[in-house]
Amino acid sequence: MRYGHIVVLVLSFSVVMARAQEGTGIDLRGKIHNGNGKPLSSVSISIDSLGISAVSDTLGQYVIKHIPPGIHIVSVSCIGYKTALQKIVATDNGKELMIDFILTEDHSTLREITVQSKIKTQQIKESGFNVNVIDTKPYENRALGLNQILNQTTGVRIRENGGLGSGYTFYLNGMSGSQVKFFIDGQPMEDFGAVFGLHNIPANMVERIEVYKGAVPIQFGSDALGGAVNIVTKQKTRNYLDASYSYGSFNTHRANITGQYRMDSGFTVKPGFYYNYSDNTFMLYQLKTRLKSGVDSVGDFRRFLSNYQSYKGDVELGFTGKKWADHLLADIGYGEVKSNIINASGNRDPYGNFILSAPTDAYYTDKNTITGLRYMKKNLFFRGLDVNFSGSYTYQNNINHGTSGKQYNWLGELIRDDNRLREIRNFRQHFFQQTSGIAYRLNHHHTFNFNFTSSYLERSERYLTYPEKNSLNPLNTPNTLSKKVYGLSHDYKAFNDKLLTTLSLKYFDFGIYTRVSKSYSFGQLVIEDKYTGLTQPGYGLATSYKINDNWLVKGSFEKTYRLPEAVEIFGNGFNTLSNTELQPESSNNFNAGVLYQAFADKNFNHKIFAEANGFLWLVNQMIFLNSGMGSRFNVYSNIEGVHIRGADMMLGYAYRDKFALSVNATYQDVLNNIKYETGTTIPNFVYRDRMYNTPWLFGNADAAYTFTDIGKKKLRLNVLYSLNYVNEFYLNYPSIARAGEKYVIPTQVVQNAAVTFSSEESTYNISLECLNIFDKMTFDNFAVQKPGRSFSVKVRYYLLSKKKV
Amino acid sequence: MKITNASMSKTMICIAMVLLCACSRDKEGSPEPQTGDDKFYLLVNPRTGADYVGHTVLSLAEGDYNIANAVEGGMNWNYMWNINGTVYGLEKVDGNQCNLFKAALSEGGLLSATATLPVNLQGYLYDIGSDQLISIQSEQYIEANPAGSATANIHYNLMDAKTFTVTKTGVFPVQIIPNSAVWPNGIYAKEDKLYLSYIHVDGTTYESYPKAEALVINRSTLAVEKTITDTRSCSLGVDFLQGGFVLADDGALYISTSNTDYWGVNESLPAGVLRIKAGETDFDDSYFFDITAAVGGNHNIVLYPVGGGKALTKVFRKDLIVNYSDYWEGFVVEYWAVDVVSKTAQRLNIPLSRDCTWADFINIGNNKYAIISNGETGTYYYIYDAATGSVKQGAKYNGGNITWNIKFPK
Repeated sequence: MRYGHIVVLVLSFSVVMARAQEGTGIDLRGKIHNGNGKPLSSVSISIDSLGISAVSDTLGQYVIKHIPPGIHIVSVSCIGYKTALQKIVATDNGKELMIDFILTEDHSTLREITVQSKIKTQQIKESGFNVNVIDTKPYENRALGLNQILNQTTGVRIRENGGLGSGYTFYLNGMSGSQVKFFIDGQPMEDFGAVFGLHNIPANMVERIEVYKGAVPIQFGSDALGGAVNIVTKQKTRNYLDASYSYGSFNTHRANITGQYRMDSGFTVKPGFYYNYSDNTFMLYQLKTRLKSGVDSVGDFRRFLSNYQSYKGDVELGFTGKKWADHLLADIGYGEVKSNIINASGNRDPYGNFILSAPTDAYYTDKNTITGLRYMKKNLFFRGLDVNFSGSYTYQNNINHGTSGKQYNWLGELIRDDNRLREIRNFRQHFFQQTSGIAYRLNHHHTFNFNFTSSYLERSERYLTYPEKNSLNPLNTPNTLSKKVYGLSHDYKAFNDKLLTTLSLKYFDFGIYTRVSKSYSFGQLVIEDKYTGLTQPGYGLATSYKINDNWLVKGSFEKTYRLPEAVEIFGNGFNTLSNTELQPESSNNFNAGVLYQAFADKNFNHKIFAEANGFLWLVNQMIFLNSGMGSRFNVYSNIEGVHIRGADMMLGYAYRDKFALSVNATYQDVLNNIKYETGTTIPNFVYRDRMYNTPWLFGNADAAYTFTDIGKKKLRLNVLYSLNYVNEFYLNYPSIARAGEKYVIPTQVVQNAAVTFSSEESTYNISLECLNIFDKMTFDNFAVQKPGRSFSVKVRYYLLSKKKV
Repeated sequence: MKITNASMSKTMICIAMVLLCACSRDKEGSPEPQTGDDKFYLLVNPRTGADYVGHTVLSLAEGDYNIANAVEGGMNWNYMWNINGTVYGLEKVDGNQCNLFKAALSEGGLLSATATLPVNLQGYLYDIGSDQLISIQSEQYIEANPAGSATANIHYNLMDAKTFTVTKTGVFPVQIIPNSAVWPNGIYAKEDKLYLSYIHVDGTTYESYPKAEALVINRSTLAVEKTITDTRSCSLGVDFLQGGFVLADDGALYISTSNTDYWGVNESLPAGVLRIKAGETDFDDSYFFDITAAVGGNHNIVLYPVGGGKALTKVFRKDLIVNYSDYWEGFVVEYWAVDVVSKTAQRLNIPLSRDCTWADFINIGNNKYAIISNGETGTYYYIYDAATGSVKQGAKYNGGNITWNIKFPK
C-alpha cells in the first residue's frame, strides 16, 4: 500500500506537469529535394540529441513538432544521398522555423542505416537508465562473437575458460550468473538452449546490444538483480542479404547468412543461419603432466579433444508494414551444439607450473528446436496505442556422453583405460514463454506501459546407459518452473522534453514444482514432491535531464529481486537439500551519470563525446551454496550481502567518418558487507574488504581510421587497433594471508588489430584480423590459460536494396 | 544462478571433501614428547566463500593468531596425513592420477614436497603397520556405485613406506544391495587381518542400512575372507574423519559406529562402539557401548584415541538442530571424553562449537591434545590433559575457523 500511494502521487504530479508543458517549443518545417529540384520522399529528418524524427512526404515536405528551446543539430539523410547536417536555434516563442534542404548524391548506401541506428542508440542512451548501447555495425566485418564484443564495453567482463565455445561467466559490475538476465528482442533467453550462447551469435545477425546496469525497464520481464542484456536482431527497412565466412587459427570456421525479402504485398521472409567450428588447439604453457612412464614432466602442450561445433538456422515468415500489423512474423528454427567437455579448473604448483587435468573423451550434444510468433502494431485502433506480443516454444534435447574411462596426459598419450560403458544422460526441456506489451501515449508528455511476461519450463532427465539409475534420479519425472512478471510504467517528458522520467512497478510471481526433494525436518531427512510459490514486488525510477545541447545528466534507482531458482530451493535430489525458507536476493540499485557531446568546429567535423556513470548497489540476502565440510549434503542459504560501488567512463573522438577513437574504463569496489560472522558477535575479518576473485579495474581502447576512395573502384580501407586491459586481482580477499605471495590473476594487456577492405558500397568486404598480437599468456580465471595469438580472415558479401520496403 | 567457475570449483572441492573427507590425525595413542619445536600447519576457512589459507604456528597451547598472517600457495594438495611422524600429501594431476608426496614446511610456512610417488587413486591413506601404507577409494568417486549391481569394488594401492613405492594395486569386492552406494570409512590392521569398514546406503535416500559392516581381509594376500555384520548400529568405523578405531591395551579393537544424520544418516539406531576381541575376527555380541544413551540421547562422530582405552569424540546436540545446515553453521557441537572399556563418558568444559570436521583433535605431545572450538565468541584451542581429564583454554585464532591442522616435526 505504501508504494501504491507513492505511485498515485507521482502520476498525479506527472499529469499536472504534462498539462503545463503541452504546446511548448517550436515546429520545424520545410522541403527536401535533390540537386535537380526533384522533391525527395521518405527522407529521414532527425534531431539525434532529442531522439525525435520525421519523414518527408511525396512532395518532399516534412515537419518536426515541439522542438524544445536550445541549439540542435538536424540530420537529414536519405539512401543514395549524402547526409546533411544543419544547426538550428529553437526558441520558446512558439514560432515555426522553415528550412529547406538540398541533398547531393552519395552512392554509399550504408549511411542511411548508420544514421537510423544512431538515432535509436541516442534515444536509449538519453533515457534515465544506466545503459550501454553497442552498435554492432563496426564489428560486422570481424570474426567475433557477441561475447567478445560485449567484453569491450564498460562494466562488463566475460570470463572464459578457453577458446570458442568454452564455458564463460558474464560479470556486470560485480554481479554474475543469474543475477544478470539475457534477452533477445525482449524475450528472456536464459532457457533457450546452448545455440543461443553469446559466443555463437555473430555480429552480422545483430543490430545492437543494450546493456542495462542496475535498473531495468519493465519491457524486460525478468527478475534481474544486477541488470539485463538485450540483443536486438536486425530490423532493417530494406531487403538485404548478408553472407560471411571466416577461417582462423586453431582450425576455426565461422559462417553466417542473414537476409530479408519483402514482397509488395507485405509478405516477408527473413532467413538466418550460422555455423561455428573450432578445434581449439591452442598452446598451453608451463603445464605439468603425467608421462606414460609414470613420472611428471613440465612443458608446453597443445590442447586436444577440445572441439566445438554449433549451428543454427531459422526462418521468419509473415507480413510487415501492413495496416493491421507493423509486423506479424512466425519463426521456426533448429540448432545444435556438439562440444567436448572441457575441464576448466586449474591450479599451480610451488614452482609456478600450471596443473590442469588433461581432456577426456567426454562430450555433449545440445539440440534445440525453436518456434515463435511475434506481432507489433503501433497506433492500433487509435493514435497512441501500441501493442506488441512475442511468444515462443523451444525444445531442448541435451545428451551428455560421459567418458569411456580413457585418461590421457597432455601429450595425448593414453595413460589409463578403465574401458567402461559411457554414462549417457539425456535431459529434455520444454520451454514456453510469452511477452505482451501495451503502450499508450496519452499525449506528447505521458506514456503508460504495461508489460506481462510469463514462462513455463518442464525438464526431465534419464540415463540412456545404466538405466537402473533412473529410479534414483529426481528428474526422472518432469520438474516444472513457472514465472510471471507484471510491469507497469509511466514515461513522462517535461520542460520541452529536457526531462525524461520513467516510473515503474514490477510484480514477480514464481511457482516451482519438483520431484524427490530432500529436506531436513525434525531430525529426519525427508524425501517428497514439493511445490512452492513466491511473489515479490519491485519498483524503480529513472530520469534524465538535458541541461543543454552538450550536457545531459541522468539517475536511476530500482528495488529489485532475484527469486531463487529451482535447484536453490529444492536441491538436486542428491546431495543438495531443499530449503523452502530461502529468501529472494534483493538489491537497491542507485545509478547516476552524465553525458557530454559536442562538435569542436562549426562544420561538424570533429565530434567529442564522453560519458561517466557512478553506481551504488546494496545487495542483501545473497544466495550461496552452503557446504558442510564433513557433511554428505549441502544446502543453499541466504547471507548478508555485498555493497558494490564504482564508476565507469568513456571518452570518444570522431573526425567525420574517417577517424574514431574511444577509451573506456571501469572501476568497481565489490565489498563484503557482512559485519559479523553469521550467528555470532565475532567481527567479520573481511568486512568491507574487496570481494575475492573479482576484477576491479579494467578498460578498453580502440582506434580506427578509414581511407576512402582508394583507386578507381573507390575502395575503402579500415584499419583498426584495439586494446583490452584488466588489472591484476586477487583470487582471495586482499587483507587475508598476506604473509606470503598471494594468488593473483595477473594484469593483462591484450592488443588486437584488423584491416578491412570494402568495395564502394560495402558489398564486398574482406578483413584480416589478429587477436592477442604479442601472444601474451592470458587468464580470466586462476591458472586457466586462454588462447594466445590468433589470425583470421573473413569475407563478407552484403547487398542492401535501395528500395525501402 | 549460473554458477561461476570459481564457485563451481569450490563446490566441487566441497563435494570432494564431503565425500572423501580427509583425515589429518596423528597416529592414535602414540604419545610424543613435546619438544617445543613442532610446527602446526593450520588450514583456515575464512568463512566468506573464499579459498582456504594455510597458517603455520609454533604452539596450540598458547598464542593469538591472525588470518592476515596466513599464506596462500605452496604445495597443491587435496589431503594430508601425519603417519608416524611423516607428513604425506596428495596432489591431483590428471583425472584420477595423483601424486602422493612427502611434505615439508619452509621457513615461510609454505608446503613443499621432498619425495613424490605417482598413484592412480585419490583415496585416503592408512597405516597398516610393517611400513606399509594403503589407500582406498570407492569405485565411483562421488556418485553411487552402479545401481542394480550386487557388487561394488573398493580400489586400493598398497605402498612400501620405506622405499616409497607402490607394491600392489587391486580391488576389494563388496557385496551390496542393488540400488545402493558404498563408501569406505576406514581400514585398520589387527593381528593378521585388515578390517575395512564401510558405509552402505540406500542409493536414493543415502540413508544407511541398519547394519554395521566390515570386510575382513587377509593382511598378507589382501584377499577378502569374509564380511562381518552387526545390526545394533550402522555406519561402521568412520576413520577418515580423524579416527574411528581404538585399540585397547588388551588387544581388543573397538570400532565406532557413526549413524548421525550428519553422516551415516540413520538415527533410528543409537551411535555406539562395537568390539572385536583379541584373537577373534567377529564382533563381540556381548559388548555394545551405547554412546547415544551415554551422551544424553544425541549422536556422535569420531573416536580419537588418547590412550588407555579412552578417546575424544564430538557430539551433535539434536535439540539445537532445526535445519540441516545447522550441523556446520550452528553452535551444536559438544566435546566428550569416553572410555570404551568401562563404557563411561564425560562432557568436556568447552563451549558449544561449530563443526570443525577434519581436525577437532590433535596430539600435541606430553599426553595432551588440542581441541578446536569454533565458538560464538571466537575460535580457540582447548588443551585436554589425558592424564587428568582436565581442559584449559589455549591459543586463539582470529579471522576464520580452523578446519584442519597437522603437525610437522622439527
